[in-house]
Amino acid sequence: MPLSAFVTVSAVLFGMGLYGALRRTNAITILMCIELMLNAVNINMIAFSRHLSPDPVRGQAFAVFIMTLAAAEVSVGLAIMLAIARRRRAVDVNEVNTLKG
Amino acid sequence: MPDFVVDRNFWVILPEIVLIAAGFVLLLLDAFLGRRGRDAVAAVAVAGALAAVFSLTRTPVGPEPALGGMIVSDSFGMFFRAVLLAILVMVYLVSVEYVARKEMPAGEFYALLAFATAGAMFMVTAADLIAFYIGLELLSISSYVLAGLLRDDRSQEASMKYFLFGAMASGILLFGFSLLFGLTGHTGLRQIAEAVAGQGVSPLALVAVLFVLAGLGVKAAAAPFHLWAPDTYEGAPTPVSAFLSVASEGAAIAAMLRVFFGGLNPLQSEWAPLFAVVAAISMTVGNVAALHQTNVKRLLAYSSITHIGYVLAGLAVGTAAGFSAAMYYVLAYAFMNVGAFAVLVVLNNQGEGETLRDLGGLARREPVLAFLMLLFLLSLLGIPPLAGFFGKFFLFRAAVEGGMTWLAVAIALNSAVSAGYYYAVVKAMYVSAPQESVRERPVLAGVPMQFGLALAAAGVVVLGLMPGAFVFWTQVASLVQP
Amino acid sequence: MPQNAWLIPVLPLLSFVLHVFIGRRLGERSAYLGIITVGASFVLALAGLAGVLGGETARVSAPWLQIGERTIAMGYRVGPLEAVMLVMVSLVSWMVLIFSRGYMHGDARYNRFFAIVNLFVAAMLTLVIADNFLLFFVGWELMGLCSYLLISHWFENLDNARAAMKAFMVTRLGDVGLMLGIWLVFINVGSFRFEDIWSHVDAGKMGVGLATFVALMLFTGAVGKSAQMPLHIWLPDAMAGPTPISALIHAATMVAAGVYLVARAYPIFQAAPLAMDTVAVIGAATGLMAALIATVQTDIKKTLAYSTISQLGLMMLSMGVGGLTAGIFHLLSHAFFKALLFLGSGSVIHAAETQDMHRMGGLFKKLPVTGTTFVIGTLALSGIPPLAGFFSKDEILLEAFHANPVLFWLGVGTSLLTAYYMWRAVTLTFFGRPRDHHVFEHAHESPAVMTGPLVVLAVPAVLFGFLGAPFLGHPLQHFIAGGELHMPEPSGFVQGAAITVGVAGILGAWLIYGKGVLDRGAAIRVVRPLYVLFKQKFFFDHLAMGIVYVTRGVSAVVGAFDKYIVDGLVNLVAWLVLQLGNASRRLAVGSVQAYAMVMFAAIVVGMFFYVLKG
Repeated sequence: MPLSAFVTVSAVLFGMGLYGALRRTNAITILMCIELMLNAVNINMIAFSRHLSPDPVRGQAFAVFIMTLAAAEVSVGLAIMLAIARRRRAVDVNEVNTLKG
Repeated sequence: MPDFVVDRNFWVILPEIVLIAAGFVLLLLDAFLGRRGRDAVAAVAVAGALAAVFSLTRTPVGPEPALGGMIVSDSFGMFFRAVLLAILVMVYLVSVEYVARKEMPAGEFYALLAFATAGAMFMVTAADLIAFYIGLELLSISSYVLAGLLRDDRSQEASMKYFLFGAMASGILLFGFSLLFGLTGHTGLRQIAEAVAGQGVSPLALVAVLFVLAGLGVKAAAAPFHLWAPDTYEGAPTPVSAFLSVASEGAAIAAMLRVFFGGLNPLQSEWAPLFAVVAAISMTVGNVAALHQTNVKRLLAYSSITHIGYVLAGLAVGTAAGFSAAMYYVLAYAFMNVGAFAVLVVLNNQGEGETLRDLGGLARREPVLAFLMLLFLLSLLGIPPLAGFFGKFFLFRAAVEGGMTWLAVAIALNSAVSAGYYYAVVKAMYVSAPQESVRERPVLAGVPMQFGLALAAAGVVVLGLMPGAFVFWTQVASLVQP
Repeated sequence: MPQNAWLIPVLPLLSFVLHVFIGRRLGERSAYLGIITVGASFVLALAGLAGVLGGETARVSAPWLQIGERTIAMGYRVGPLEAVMLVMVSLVSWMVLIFSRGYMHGDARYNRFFAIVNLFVAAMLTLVIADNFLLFFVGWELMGLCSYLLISHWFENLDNARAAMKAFMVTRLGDVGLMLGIWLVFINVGSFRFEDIWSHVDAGKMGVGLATFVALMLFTGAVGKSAQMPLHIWLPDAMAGPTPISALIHAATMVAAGVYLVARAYPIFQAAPLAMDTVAVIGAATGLMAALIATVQTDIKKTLAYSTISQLGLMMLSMGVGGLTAGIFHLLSHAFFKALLFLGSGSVIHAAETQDMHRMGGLFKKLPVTGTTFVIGTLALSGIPPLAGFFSKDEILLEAFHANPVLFWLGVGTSLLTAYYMWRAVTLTFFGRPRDHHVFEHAHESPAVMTGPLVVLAVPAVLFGFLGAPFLGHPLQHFIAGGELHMPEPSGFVQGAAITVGVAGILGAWLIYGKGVLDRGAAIRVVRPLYVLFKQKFFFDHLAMGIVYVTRGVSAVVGAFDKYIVDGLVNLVAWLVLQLGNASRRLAVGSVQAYAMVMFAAIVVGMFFYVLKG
């Protein structure tokens, strides 16, 4: 498969994630959309690593790190959402909106 | 002697190792001692930070990367590591009483601050995009939790907003990194610079520049990527706001300096105008929005956006003078902003808020505290002979000599506007009457807080009276040689 | 001993620190801290002056900061000008501090007041002896801060707080110019030291264009601080502060700092003829305008405030036409008698508990000491020989006479009006029948702690002028100029004009207010028996009335211009900034997604930027 196919998939995935992150109101869904963005990055990394890089493991290693750290990030994110859900019963980002100005 | 002790790689990241080890010790101590061990945990935390400071003096300095090309312990990294550790020590001292009064989980609080600082220190010493990313995430994830530790609605909201915005920013930054990797086939900054220099300007490279700037701009709270900052700083525990506004933003600035002057240096003519625009927008937006604030924490959040704008002006100029001016400003800013937040922490410790009304008549309730706040605010405003004045002076001079006079004029005009809200705070303290309910109540600061305030004030005064040595340091540590 | 001059500002600073830490414990005794330290400063200043008279000077400078290959030095210099200024500032401050001990007695924020005054004195003295623009600017800004804090001393009244804010913002506007000017000088000369700058400019290394721009920028700062048109609007409002503050800061010292700044940067101004002309024109216009407004004020302090603006205008006029020594001479003599007048008005207000002159009258009998010294101050300000104001004002008029007839006549007009409104104030306050019996009955002479300083200040108000008198050979001017001095050709016409307008102004005020010719009934009763014999006199009455009406009309117009145009412009700028702030604050709507939208919009704009750039 040509490199351009990977990059196209990655760009589309990133765009979908971005759109969702900006439009959905449920915080959990936003979190999932952000994961989509990160996975787009992973596809990029691995495709570039395979096709372009003189060092074939560099990009793959980066992708592994991204996956690991994204997992850590998500777990913290879910903990935060959970804490909010326990007090406010909803995780709609439009309702968590007392700080402004 | 075990092998790792003689291995250079171990010594290069010794301060970070000490900090992270201290963090784990704190978590264990907290688990065993419980609530009553709070002071012991605080003492161990401060000791751990001081141990990290000591180990920093034992760290080898050199431009050659260690740890497989991931980390470089050069004098630039040493400068920012020292700044970050100074911030950590101050924030620890400032937090002790706050943690106790607000019933916060002490072990988590101090340990997370240590982890966040270690992450920031990895960021400033990273020589590779992977190390950057790991440092950034360690800093960010710890910060998300820290912002929510107060467990009230506002704190949780601050935490959630920071998390969502920060996670999106990570995605954007990584997308930029992946493009850079695709363009050059490398993740090491030095190799990227060589490859970019060989390729010249390409549209993809410019997109990468934009994404990296936006991703790091979010961390640095530079406008127009700043909007999370006022909400987060207002809701987060006050010492955490102090930490984020200086350590997190400072580390992001250092990362920008490294990535743009290191890896993307060949594209300088492309990104320098962007920095100039972001700098001008940041200082203006932060300033004019601050004029309307009545909550001093929020006011300081907007003011921090302004100050980041000043620093970015140094990056936009791109000369050796601009580079070291930006470094100097981060150093000066660390002391004065932590100091200003610390005064709010003292008020919080009495169970009081941090609006202009709460600060009313502070000069009559506690003249020394009000005087210190005046000192920090004057420094933020840039009144000689305090630290902030020289920060602005060097930036101004760099901008004029670097041929960006309009940016220098923007700095001057914005400084004039900023007088409006800093003096609103001064007016509240010195002119307004205290609120009836607290009129006779004294404002007390515990011993650790006194040390913290003294450290911040000493920094502001020393940097103002004897800037010479520090200027020399920034020149030596600069990545751009004249 | 000019070498010890650094102690002069350090002593009041020490007093300020003591106030902050132990002031409240001392209670009202804390006032002595300042009285003792500033008194010591005065003695040191006298010693320094003696040293300078003996031929010593101090130039102490030490390298302080290394930037690149440039070294910035910090230090102080005490030459003739500085020595004289030190004596003036420390003496006036000392007197004001002693006076305040009585005036502020029982005030709720007694300690705060004295603390800030001490800081102010330290700042002003620092500014005087600074040998470089950096230290000068430190003093300059600190004074601004103290002024702000003191104007709003009685902040329970919201108007006072607003006046303080106005003063701060308006002077800050000027400071932006000053800062820019200082930076430009530094970039061009490579040093902040006055001596380096002077020699650089004297060697002709600064182009006329740059010198003009720099001089105008520096002058902007002076315009703000010295309340010159169009930034004078803050000074009348600043009268909201306690009266001793008006005497010290808003009459004698701080507002004169703008003139002193022009004197410091004089070589730059001399290298820029256009800037000199600007200074002269603004000075002359301010002088006349403020004097016109002063004639219709009913508030005794407002009258003095406009008078101050007017006199500062005369000093600027002198500076602008090349009369450096004349300007400084007037600065010094004005400081003494204007501080005296303000403290006198403080004593009157203390006694009458009102500032409205129309409710006073006949107070001379109740306040003999205050009245006598106030009259001395008035005569000095009106330029009646041989009092201080005569010699200094005469010299300014002489400088203007040789420079430009229009400026000269503007100066003469100002002098005429000065004598008129001052004597009007004296008449309304001290002479005539008491108009408000409640005020009159309750009036009483102030305690010795307040009248003492009045008497002390009356001495230089009478005698100081002789130091610069022409028949003694202008000793002061020679001393300040350091030997080589080019004095303008003396002119009997100028001297005659100065005395004539002084006397005419006083006479006019006496006729209108003292003799009550404004009261139609009384005027007719006085005039009718002499109708045939003194027809001209009758005619003169009408003329006087006409002049009064015209003057009132003009000053109303000027006042309106002041209030609606100048004020409006300043307010407009402030409003614009605030609205901009509101708009950028609206961005923070609280929703994370809106925030992220802004971020992505910025990235898209960035992409467009690159596309357009190609």
